[in-house]
Amino acid sequence: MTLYMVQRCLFDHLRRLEAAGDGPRPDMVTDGYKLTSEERRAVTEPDIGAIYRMGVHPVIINGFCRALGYKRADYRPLLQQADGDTARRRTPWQKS
Amino acid sequence: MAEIVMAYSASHAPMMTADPGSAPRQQAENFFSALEKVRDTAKETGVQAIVMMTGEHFTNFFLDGLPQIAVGLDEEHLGPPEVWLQVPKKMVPSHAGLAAHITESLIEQGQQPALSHGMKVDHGFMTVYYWLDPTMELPMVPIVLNCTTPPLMTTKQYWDFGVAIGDAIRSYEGLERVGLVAGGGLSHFVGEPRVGDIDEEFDRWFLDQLGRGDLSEILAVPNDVLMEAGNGTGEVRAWIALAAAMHSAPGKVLAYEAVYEWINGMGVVLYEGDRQAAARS
Repeated sequence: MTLYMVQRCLFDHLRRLEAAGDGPRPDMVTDGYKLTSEERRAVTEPDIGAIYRMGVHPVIINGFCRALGYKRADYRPLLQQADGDTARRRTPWQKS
Repeated sequence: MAEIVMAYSASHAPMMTADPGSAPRQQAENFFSALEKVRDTAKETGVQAIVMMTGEHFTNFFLDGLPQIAVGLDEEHLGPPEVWLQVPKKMVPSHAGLAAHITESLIEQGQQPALSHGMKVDHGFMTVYYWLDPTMELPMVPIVLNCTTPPLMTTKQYWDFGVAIGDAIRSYEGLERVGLVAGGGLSHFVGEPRVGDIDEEFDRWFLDQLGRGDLSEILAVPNDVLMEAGNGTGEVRAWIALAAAMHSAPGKVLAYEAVYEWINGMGVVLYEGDRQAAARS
């Protein structure tokens, strides 16, 4: 329903994982969060590209990918595939 | 009145303590040698406490209430929450009197810091602080800055904040020798398609300005353009504030290494203390 709810859901999941330590790994919980079916699918599947396209904060994406055991080489392509806008703007520090 | 006897800015990539050996040896040596020089400087100056500014990583605040700036006000703060950081967990001493004075002074100067009790000091602080004092006994007043969640304060606003924090520290009567530290940056990309990239051109451009003591170019960069150097690069706001606190004196760039294994441009810039700077001018 809102980007905040998706981010809250993921953030709370990361905190539960942290609290669990080496104990049993908690499942993703979506009950109690006002999510659309697509949002629920994206966080439970999980679909990193869809989560990125929704606009989830990159610090949360980074933590979520790490929690999933992904290496950078695993999730960078997922994010690149999801990125529709690859144009880089000119910046004052670019020499070439 | 307190004197700022040392000031420095340093990158805080988690890998620098979590897995330092993952970097090419020469790069790691250059970066850590710079931090050792800073540690020697701290000993020489007899610094009694430091004030440290770094980016918030959703360790203390989340989107339900995210301040742009928050000062940790307790006598001690737990750090680090990250079990994988390879830094021992400890209640890190602070200096509550200095923290309270800074907060009050900032407000009197037109800044609006949030008040925070129970603040935890994560890798943003602990990677750099642990290298400064491996015993973790040196009191550290923590200040977190929102550097990644728009809308963000501009670089110019952080400059003004830095001027205010310098004045706040120098007007404190409870200590004589205080250090100021900025953690974060340089360029890095997190949780986005360019994750792992380092914008070396940005890093060298920015360090050149710090070395000259003239930040006019970066202060003219809008927030959305700064984001092009990396969505984590906004942590250089702490470096800008520190340069402002030191009256825009030229900083000495002790090290710069683009460490791709740590996904971070790694730099250290050291400033003269107040007395040295006054003697030189």
